[in-house]
Amino acid sequence: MELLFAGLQAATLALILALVYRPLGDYMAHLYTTTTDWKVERGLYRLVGVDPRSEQSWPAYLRGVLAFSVVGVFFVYAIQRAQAVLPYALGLPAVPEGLSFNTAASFVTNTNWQSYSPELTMGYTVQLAGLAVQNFVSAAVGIAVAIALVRGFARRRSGTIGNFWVDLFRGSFRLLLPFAVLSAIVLIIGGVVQNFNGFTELTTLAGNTQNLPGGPVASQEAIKELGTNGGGFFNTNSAHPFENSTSWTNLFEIVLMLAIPFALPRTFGRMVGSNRQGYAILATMASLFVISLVTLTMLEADGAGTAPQLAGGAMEGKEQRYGIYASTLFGTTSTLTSTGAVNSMHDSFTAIGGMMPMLNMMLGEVAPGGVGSGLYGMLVLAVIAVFIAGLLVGRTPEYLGKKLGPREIKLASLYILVTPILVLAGTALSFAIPGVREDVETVSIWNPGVHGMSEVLYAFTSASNNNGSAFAGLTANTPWLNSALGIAMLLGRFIPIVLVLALAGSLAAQDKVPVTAGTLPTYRPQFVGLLGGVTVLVTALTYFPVLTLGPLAEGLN
Amino acid sequence: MRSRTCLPAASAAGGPAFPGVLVLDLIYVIAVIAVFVVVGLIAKGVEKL
Repeated sequence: MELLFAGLQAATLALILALVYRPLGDYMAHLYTTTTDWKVERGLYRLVGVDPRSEQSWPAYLRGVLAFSVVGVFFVYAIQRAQAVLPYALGLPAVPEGLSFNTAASFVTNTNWQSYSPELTMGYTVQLAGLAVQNFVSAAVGIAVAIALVRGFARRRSGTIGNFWVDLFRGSFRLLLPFAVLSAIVLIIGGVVQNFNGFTELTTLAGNTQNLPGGPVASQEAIKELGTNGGGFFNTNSAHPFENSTSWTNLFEIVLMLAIPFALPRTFGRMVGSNRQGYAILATMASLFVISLVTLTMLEADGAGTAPQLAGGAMEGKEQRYGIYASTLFGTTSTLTSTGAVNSMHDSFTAIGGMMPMLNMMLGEVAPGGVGSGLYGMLVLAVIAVFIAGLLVGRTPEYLGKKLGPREIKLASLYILVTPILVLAGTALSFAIPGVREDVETVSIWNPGVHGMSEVLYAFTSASNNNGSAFAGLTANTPWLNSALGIAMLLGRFIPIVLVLALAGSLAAQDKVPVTAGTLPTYRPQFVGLLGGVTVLVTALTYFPVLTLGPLAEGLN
Repeated sequence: MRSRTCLPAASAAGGPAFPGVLVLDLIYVIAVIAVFVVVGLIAKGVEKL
């Protein structure tokens, strides 16, 4: 019966995403190409002194991204440090320095890693004015960068790739805000709380007292999933009934996470003038998603040991309301979209099952990835795939009419090296620096041995790939992890953005070359296979050694 | 079952607005600036690729 329900749920999800693909993708293509500005946008352009009709070169576009983001980091840091004097602080003190830095870096980079219990650390003002605002704008920044790269493929002999401020405001006001408002209303109907009540003291039937937290949860929950942010209002995230009330809100939240990332390939296809190019990217993303989901579900449904066998699967750490299938679907979605929300504890997955969320992130968050970051990550991998195909069969390395020369390949190669360096160096330093190692092993890790190694590896994988999900079982609110993970999040977000925008500028400056007999068709199933293969191969070659020290060693033991 | 709503307090009673060590605040502010400077330098390097 549960399997039938799981099948129906997966089929419903696929149907909804298929129905959304074209209208949402076309709407986004229109949104980022129209020359009409809304009144509120014109006011904002005047406020920040931007001419919406002016175009930017890639360095100017990048300066906009970096300036906007650094201001965001300082604002979120300051508002946390000043929490005690802010209204609706719920009597909570200022957030400590290290945690403020980590949280500011986390929300500005769309990671939403949380080293704290939100309901016991953040008042409503910080949650709304600091964190929720970043949920919108960090997502809009990601989409803007992806659109800039798409323009690079679409334009000919152009020195510009768009205007960052126009893309930012349009993404925020025309896409994320209206859809988030509608989604919040749906979640409220489903039972997700939305109030400013603080804590409500209840007397239970047994005569004990219990404090129930309230808060503006639905409004934050909507953008948390829609913007693939993932930072929960409560510590247990989407496993909390006030954040995720019923089976259908669970499915709705999964739809929200996948809607924009899966529709962006359509936007890409429209903007480059070939919808079938978008279908090829979509097919690659969807194939990797299905393979990962099926693998994780099989591992969790067949957990080894007496208790899992009697329970019909590995139920530790899973919400009884959702069971195994809705947990693996949510977990796969969350870690393949850079959201990082959880409705089950990934630390309690089976040993190899716990490796799957890690692998999902290690793929580079491209199947379908975060809003914007998924598309630009996959397009960079497409550049690598075309280059490899050229080497293998002697075809001209060109993609969508753009020649892939040494500069483009250098940029793409550097892109795929950034996050692995951050993940592996961060994990290695945690166990190599005297003093830090003792702190990590005695304070942070709750499960010594190979599982503890997996917990640290998961943390750096999550931070560097801007996912934000936690393996749990790791106390990350320490000076080392707050600082190191914060830096990993910032570098893992902005260095790839530098490379993507440079690639966009390089491609935009080129003319298009005509299709010849030597051009590799990049819309056929064989290219989908090649792109998927390259994605998996790059990940496997990079991370396999470290996985053998953690989850693989645990699973094979 | 009866319930009582605890209204949010305006602010923490007593205590400074920014408890903690000012030096740590400065260190983290400098760290943020340093990270963005590094990213900017990487961008400069990428321009010359």
